[in-house]
Amino acid sequence: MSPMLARVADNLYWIARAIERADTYARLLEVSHAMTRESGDVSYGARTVWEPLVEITGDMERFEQLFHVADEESVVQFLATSPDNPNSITSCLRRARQNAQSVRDLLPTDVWEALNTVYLELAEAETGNDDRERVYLLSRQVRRAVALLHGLIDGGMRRDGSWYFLRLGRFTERAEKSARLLEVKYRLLLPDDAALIGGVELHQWRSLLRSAGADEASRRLDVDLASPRRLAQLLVTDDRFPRSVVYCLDQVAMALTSLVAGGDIAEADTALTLVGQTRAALIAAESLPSQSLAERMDRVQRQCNAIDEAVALSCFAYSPGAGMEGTQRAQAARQAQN
Amino acid sequence: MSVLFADYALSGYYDEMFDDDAAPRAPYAGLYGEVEHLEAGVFTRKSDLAGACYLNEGITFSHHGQEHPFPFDLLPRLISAAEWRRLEDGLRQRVTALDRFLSDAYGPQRCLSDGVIPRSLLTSCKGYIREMVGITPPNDRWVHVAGIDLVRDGAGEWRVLEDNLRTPSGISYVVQNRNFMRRVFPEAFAGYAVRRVDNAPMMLRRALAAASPVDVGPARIVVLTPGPMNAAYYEHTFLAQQMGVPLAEGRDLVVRGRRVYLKTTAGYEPVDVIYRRLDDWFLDPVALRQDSLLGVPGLIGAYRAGNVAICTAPGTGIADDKAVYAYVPRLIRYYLGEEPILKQVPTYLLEDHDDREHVLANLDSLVVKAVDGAGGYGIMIGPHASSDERREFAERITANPRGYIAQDTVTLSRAPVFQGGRFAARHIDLRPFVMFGETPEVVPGGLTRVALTEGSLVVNSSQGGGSKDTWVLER
Amino acid sequence: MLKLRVKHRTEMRYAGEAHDSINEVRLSPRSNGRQQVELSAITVEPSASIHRHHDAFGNEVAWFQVTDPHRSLVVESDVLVAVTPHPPHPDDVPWSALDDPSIRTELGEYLDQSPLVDWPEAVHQFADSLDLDDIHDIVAWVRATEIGVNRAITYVPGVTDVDTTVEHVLQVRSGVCQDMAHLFLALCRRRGIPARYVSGWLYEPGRDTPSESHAWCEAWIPGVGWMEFDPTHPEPELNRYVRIGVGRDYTDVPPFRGSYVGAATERMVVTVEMSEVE
Repeated sequence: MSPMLARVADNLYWIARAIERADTYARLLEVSHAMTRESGDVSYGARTVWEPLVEITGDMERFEQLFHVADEESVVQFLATSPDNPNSITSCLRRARQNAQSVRDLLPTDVWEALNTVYLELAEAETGNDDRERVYLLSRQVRRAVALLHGLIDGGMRRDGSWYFLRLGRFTERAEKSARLLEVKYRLLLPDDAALIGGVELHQWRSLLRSAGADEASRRLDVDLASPRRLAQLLVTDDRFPRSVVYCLDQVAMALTSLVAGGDIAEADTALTLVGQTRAALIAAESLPSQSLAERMDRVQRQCNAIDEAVALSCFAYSPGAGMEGTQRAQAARQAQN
Repeated sequence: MSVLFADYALSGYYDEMFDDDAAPRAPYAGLYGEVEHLEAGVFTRKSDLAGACYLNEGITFSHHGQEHPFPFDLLPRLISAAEWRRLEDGLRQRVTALDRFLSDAYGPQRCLSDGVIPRSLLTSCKGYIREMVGITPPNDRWVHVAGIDLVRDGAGEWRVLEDNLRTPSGISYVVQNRNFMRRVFPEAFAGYAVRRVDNAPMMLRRALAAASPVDVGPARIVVLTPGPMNAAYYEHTFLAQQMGVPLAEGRDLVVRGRRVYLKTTAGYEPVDVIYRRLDDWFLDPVALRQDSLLGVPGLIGAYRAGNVAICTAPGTGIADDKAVYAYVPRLIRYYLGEEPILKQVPTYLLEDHDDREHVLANLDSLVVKAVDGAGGYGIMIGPHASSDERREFAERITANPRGYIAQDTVTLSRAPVFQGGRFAARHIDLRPFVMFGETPEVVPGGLTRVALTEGSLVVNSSQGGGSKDTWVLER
Repeated sequence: MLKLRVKHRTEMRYAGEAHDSINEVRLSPRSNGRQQVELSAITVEPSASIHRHHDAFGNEVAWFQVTDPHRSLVVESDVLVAVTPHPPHPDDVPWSALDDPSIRTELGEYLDQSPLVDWPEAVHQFADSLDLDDIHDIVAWVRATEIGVNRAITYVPGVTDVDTTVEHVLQVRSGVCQDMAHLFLALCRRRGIPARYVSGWLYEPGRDTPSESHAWCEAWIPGVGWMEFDPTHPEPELNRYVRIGVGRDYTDVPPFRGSYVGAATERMVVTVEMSEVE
């Protein structure tokens, strides 16, 4: 079996990223929604919940072009259904489905079907009723669909190049978004990296954990919610917690190593070095409290971008549309003498 | 007859299942026994199940921009072993002659100097690709896959209706029809030994491998698709998957040093054989249509150098031109020195003054077709056409006589099709597929296409037709 | 006999980098009854290997690929060719000589419409305006048509393009040699005279501006064969022409065509230097 088409690998990578992104946004929306319900103060919600939410997605500029105020209505629309936001949940799923269509020969039929179904259901729901439960229902629907997709992918696909490219996309996306979530939340909640937090913030921390899907894990591990450092450990360096940054980096490294071993890509030296450096820096920083977590997470994000570029260079350099390509043009000369 | 066949009409046409006395023909006897005591509800349920199979797998055909499942009729079409042997011989003979004709027409052109066909007929074919003149494809093979449309006339006689050499589609349906048939109506197979069609993709792969210009190692094959927007995209993905070869778009391929390469994650990988589902003119913007973004720049240069096989060869459109069709019996005699095994439909070339006058005077009884048409477009069926349509075609013929041909209307045979809880007689045809590697091989079966509208003679899927599984019997 | 040296230079300049440039060049004349090619070379900068073949009309085609990034592409054809004068046009060829059905069979592609030669209503009207129906000699009719096209169409570079239709040429009443040739071909073919397009060079000793490549025509005269006509220069002396190739119209014999990837083309300059050689 010869190596995969660069365009196809590129597609698989972005299918996985889009699915993961939809899942992350669904979680964020659900938790934010619950938070504002619980606090009851609308202005509080706008400042502390909805605006940061847009910031976490990194799409503030685009948001400001489309909406004046960041409130529940505008942010939910922006992140869930807006066709003008290429990163909204429906846009992500549309893109994933489109990409999947052109690599159908490599995806199990079930995966295609599941993706097709959730996309069609959401497209229908878009025009449906607009009640307040919608956020929860939508989030649950997306999270279940994504879980189903991962189940089908992991349960049904051979561990060859296709599977590793999906894996690579999924965990690159998750590492980046986990870091971003932490950076924004920490910057807002804990400007001075204070050692202890009070009553109101406790509520916020709980939400942060829920956003990261770490609420239950934290309870089982009996993590002291009053200790930000212990919390950060869970979300950043715990290599057994599947949403921690370090866990995600390990998965990226494993996928890259397997792709090289399988002959799917020639090498991934730069990307692997970057992953290794980032991981080491995170572990080291844990015992060096000189740097605030927000700063550290900001750096992780930038390194994630560098990893993404390095991955593109080793895997998709030959993909049409990648850096070295360009527009195909015609040229012709004619007879024109007098 | 049973309830399911209560209103089944036999009059006037050759019926595939029943003889004139309404008794099942010999090969159908067992099947009829199986079906006749079924309740309508059971058959409806099975039909719905089959429909669901198609939808679930996303086997659709796009029609006016909409995705439709390909309608499938559960009652198979049967062909006896003896009958098939004759068809097979005829198809092999025909495809061999067409292949030789292509080699000659783009090469020494003996058929022109010997007066077998007029030079002007060749040069006026829309499918005549001048860039191919002087190119010899690897192994001098031009036709690698052919879909030859056959019909049975009122007397039950098989006739070739048209040849499809450029990018015939339907192989995926042949395979999937059988798969779904086995899944939802396994009892129909009781007592029958049906020849398998599931190795059709491997037959195709074998034919493609035989076209490789490289003798060493396994041939490196790709399927070249115009992309997901193409009506037959499902089939492209299916064939790539079944043959275990990459499905590439033009932008996935690159020419370097007159060789074709695939852009993979590990770098450029050489390609020996391209099974293309892209029209001739789009293959290479350097040599053909300059505005094509679907092709591969320089592909024809690599082809001319003999470094890659393009299957089917560019330029094969001259051999499925409907005016050249009229000459195929002569081509068979000329190249093979044999009498044609399969009959054709009497055809009138409208450039000929007398033929044209005859056709214009008898438009209400003839079928008129655009010479380069496919998919049931550009056809006028005289007996069914309105006077406006006939007038329009008369004008088109007068303005561009080389653009059309006329044929006697063949009263296509009919077969029972399950509609609205019972069987009704509908017209059908058959598209068998010939894979031409070392020798021409016919997939035992083919796509039986069904006109779903009562009385309609147009069976093309793009015109709302459906299909049946086609059983070639072992004995 | 006249011996001519031709240097035909095509220079493309791109707004940025171009790569994977693949082109076909038809700039190499072949020897025939009227010309003897003594030297013919094509060079490309950045350098590339040249692969030659003959197309369906017997024209020589050079194919090359420049893969690495480049900002300009120069293609030069250097040719030494001896030309002999064209035989004089005969007269008294009656229209009835075209009745032979084998003419259509053998030369059909020069009688049919082709990608850039068709005859919509505007062409019929133009033909009527020339008022040539009373001419009984085919050669005289073709000559009159040649002059008619020359008078009706003003030579203006830049108003038409590589794929300008005959209808558009008649609308703007101006164009270059290629456009006049297409109109002439349309008029001949609609009258049942096989006619084809010729690409090549015309030597004009007194010319002070830089030259370009030229296009003219051939009409098939019964009993004689292919005869040359030049609607851009309808004077009867046809002895300074170097023929590169023939086809149904421009699309069959473009001097240079291809495709590349990258920045847009900033400019294309074609210059032809011709001189007499002793």
